[in-house]
Amino acid sequence: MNNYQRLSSNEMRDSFTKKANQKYNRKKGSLKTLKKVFFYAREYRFYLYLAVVMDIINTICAIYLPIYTGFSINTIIGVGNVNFSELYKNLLVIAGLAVGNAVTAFISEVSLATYNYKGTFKIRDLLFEKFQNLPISYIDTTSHGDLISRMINDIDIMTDGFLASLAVVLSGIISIAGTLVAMFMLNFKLAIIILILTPVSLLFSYIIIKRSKKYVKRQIDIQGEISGYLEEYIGGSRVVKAFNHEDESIENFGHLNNNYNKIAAKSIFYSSLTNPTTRIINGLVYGTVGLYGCVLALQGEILVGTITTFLSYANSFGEPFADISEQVSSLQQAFAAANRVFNVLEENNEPSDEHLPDLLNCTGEVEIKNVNFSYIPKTTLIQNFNLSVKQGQKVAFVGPTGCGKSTIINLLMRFYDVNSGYITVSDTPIKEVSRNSLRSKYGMVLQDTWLFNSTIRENIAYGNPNAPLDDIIEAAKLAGIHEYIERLPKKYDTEIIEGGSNLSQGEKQLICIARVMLLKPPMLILDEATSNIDTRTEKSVQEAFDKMMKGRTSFVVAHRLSTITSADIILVMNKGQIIEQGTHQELLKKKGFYANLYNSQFESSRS
Amino acid sequence: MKKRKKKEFGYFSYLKNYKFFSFLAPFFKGIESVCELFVPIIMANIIDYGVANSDEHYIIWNGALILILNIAGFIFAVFGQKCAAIASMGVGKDIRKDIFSHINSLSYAELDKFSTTTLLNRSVNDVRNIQDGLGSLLRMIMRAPCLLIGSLIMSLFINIKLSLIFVVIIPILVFIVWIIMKKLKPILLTIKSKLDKTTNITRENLTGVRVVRAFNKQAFETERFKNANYDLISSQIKHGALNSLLRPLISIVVNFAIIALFYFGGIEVNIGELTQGKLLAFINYFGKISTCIISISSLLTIVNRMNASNERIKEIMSVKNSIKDPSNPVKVDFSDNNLGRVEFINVNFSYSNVKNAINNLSLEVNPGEIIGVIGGTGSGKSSITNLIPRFYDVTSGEVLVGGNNVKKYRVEDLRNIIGIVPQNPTLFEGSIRSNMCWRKPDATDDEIIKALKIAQAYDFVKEYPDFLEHRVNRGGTNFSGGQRQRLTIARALVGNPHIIILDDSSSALDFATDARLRKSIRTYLDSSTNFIVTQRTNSIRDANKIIVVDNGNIIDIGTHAELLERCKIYQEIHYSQNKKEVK
Repeated sequence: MNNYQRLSSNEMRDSFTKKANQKYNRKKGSLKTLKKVFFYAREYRFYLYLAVVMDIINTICAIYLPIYTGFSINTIIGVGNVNFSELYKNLLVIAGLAVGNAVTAFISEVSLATYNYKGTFKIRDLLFEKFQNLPISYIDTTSHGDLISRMINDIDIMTDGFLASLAVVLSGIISIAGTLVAMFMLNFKLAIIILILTPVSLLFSYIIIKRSKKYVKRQIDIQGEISGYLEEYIGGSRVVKAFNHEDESIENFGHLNNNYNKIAAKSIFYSSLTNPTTRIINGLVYGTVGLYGCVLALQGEILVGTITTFLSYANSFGEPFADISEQVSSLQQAFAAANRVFNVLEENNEPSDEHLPDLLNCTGEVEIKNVNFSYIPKTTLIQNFNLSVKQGQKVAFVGPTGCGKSTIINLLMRFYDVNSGYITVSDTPIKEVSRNSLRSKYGMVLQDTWLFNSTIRENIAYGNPNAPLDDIIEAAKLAGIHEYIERLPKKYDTEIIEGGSNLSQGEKQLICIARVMLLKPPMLILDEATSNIDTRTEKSVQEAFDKMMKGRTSFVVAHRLSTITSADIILVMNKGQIIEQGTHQELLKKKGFYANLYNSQFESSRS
Repeated sequence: MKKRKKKEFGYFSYLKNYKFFSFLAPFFKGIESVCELFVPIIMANIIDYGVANSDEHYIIWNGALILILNIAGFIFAVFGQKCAAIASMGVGKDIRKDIFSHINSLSYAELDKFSTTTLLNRSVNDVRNIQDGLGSLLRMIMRAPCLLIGSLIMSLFINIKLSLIFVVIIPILVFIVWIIMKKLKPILLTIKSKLDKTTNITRENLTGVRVVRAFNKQAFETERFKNANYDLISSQIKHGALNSLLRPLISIVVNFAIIALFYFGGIEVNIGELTQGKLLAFINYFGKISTCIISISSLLTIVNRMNASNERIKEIMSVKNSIKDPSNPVKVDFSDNNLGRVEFINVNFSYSNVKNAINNLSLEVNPGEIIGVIGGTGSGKSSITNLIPRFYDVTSGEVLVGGNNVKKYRVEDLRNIIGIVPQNPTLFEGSIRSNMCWRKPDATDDEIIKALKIAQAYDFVKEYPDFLEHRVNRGGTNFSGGQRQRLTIARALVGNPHIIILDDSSSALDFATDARLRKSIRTYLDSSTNFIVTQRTNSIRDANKIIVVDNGNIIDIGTHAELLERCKIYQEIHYSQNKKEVK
């Protein structure tokens, strides 16, 4: 475990330097990232094209709507001065434009959403496949919470950010351009006024957004601190009570809470200013355009209807700018999220072994020759390790917690590869056969039992989904869990929920044993559970273990003396190194580390 | 809000502390909307009188009026937003504080009812929902209705006949919004559960990476994920399509309403019932009404979410602490060695969900004795020691400490007598020293070092250059499991407690360290009563008495030798861990 921790901090440093590098050529990086996103979603690009075409038609409708509204107004001048036939013609056009506008908006939104979600689907799938092909060392040294968050949150943020902002930016640019052209065609002077006023208004909102951003960031930071504090103290509330620490913890929380309140109130205030600011600026533009339009109308340069056309352009011209600027932050987040996702996607896979033959004949002899291994380059962990195991022998690993017993399992199963030296199974070097065929020769039961959310039957048949029920029952009987399963209301079809929270630790372990029994592998890797098994099941587990090991080459991380004393070879490990090796009797005679360990448990504390 | 003013939790009652701001916020926003309401009618006048009569003077004065109204509206809006921010954040702060204090006041029995994640989610996310929702509510509660009703009144003044169009259109808009929201709700729920499923498969595959690869199931798992993933986006696309209907539907209704306005407006203008400018104002007010309906609908979603959060918080706040201080507590003399005496008299205990966790336990423990409690998981062995510091109260019978019923002490005093090492080694952010001072805030360096030595933690702590000031990360993640466990043991020993409870707390220690630990507790704290809850017989072979528990029943009480002689369960446990000793 310590090794993992050290390794992960190393990796963290690496990723920091990576980040720093990224900062330097961010511009290039952003473009690259964007390209990658579109590349991954390329098979759904039809939806994107459809959305763009629909958007263009939609904008054209949106530009013509105010023009015809203006025309209509121009036909309604005063008492007895209404050109009804012209008005009805215009209204008919408006109706057509309204329908076109609504239909294209709908199609565009739906196809963008489809593009968005299908893209999400694709990237999630690829990432999951990546998880299946990454070296185990990567998964060991990366926080699972972090990987899950990349899978769920980051991909969401990324597709939302890119694809939704894309929609806004796309339709924004189209409508800005279209409106601009239409305005200049209608009246040059009014168009100039809107063109000048819009950047001023944008500057205003920029200032406010920038200011609020500062507080929003501080708010998020302190929010994280509060959540962390609550997690720590609510999670540890029993300890808090046991030590009468309630008042102190409430007082400390009060400080944090007050701090948060001050900053959050400011942050909320500034971000809530965006809305009224947009409104006042729109109002001012509206007023200016209206007044100047009136003056122009007085001079007979334009008709009243044109004023209304411009008034609605004034609104629709500023809107996309505001919308686009709103997308800036979500785009930034999307870039950050995309980089986190791509970092994983671009990690190196386990080296391919497709060209290697399968391990066919395996009787269970294992030979370990001059093996050196360490999790961290340039440090030493396992040095010059030699071991020869005959078929059917039992090898026990013994040592204090965290001594590195699981390292050997990692090497045998090729979860990790040795740095030098080699391991052979039935005289075949394990590096020269496919990993899958090697792993299928081992039956593995780990202390952290792993069951997936499905029925008991499917869990037992995990290694051979086509196994008939009779075989499954047979395996369950061998594991001594059959009677228990039969007592359940739905028997073998009982659903296992949340990794087995409806089963006891011992029952879970027995199901794992049945899972291995079904396959009848020539070799076994077992990790005995230390605690958490109730005494009654513990006995059944022990019996099942013993039955399973009969006649099979077994590697056991042992915690029970009965297992240890009956082993053919005991490997005593400490701090990652194998310090003693031999049978129980030999090691006791040696009076070394093992003898000490063995005797200490009988030592009296009242001497 | 009016009559529901009982003790029940409700966010409205928290607004009382911010009466001033929570009144001013909607008030200012109301004034802002009134300012906004006058603009279209002034514009109409400009067109009808100013432009029609070529009265530049009139145009400029009214233009200035529009400017003033705009600026006034903005200023009121800023004040309104500020007040809303102060009030809503203040309420959030108060609620958060109250929940945290409340959780701290609850006893174990009540805490059992909620998982840590539940408590955490409610005090973080639900409070945030309420706080943010309240902000929006305060900002919009006056503005949206004011604009809606104001626009309606204005249009009625302009022309009653044309206003009838609104009577038709508004219900249609409300209906569209309502029906789409209603249809979206269940889809959102399925999306959430499908997202959970996807997350679960991801988590399963990360924790079980070795098993998946050992069984060569990568392709199977990828397929399983793909199905869940596809399921998820199918619902999301459905949601997206339905959601995409909302805006086009509203816009088409609005546009057809405008066509109707023109159609009938043309007729009205023709006969002199309406002017061109007024028709424009009409269209303008109509625009405001439709945006108001949209914002009211979003307000309703916010209120719904707030109410749901409120219910969840209420659930926590309504749970009352069952363990209270007595009215006349016994005075505690901490120098009295007799405080280590513990007696159980006919004790029965049930959890709210587990009946008969302890059946009829009677036991007398003298100061300085070692008591072992052994049994499997769920056998009820921790329940016994949980009764001593009153983490739970007995269902019947009595527990005495120092000759007095535990209920007669102030809870704080009682727990000060005891040093507890919980099953999960939990450390808190700070330094080693700050963690060591939990039992005794004014502990001296010597006391801390002594405790560290007894707990076998001194050896690694002394290696730190900053020694006791060494940083402890949140949750103690910068220590290994064994180190954390030894530190939590040391924490309980600071200041020589009269009673020490080790609740299955040496599981991360190897045999040798465990033995040294027990030995040094004996040597240095020989007058302390020591309860050792464990699954290993070797940890308690020297105990004065060993209680064997199975399924809540006290199977037997005796010494190691006696139990090996006569107790079948004890033998089973012992021999499964140790080969028969041939002597």
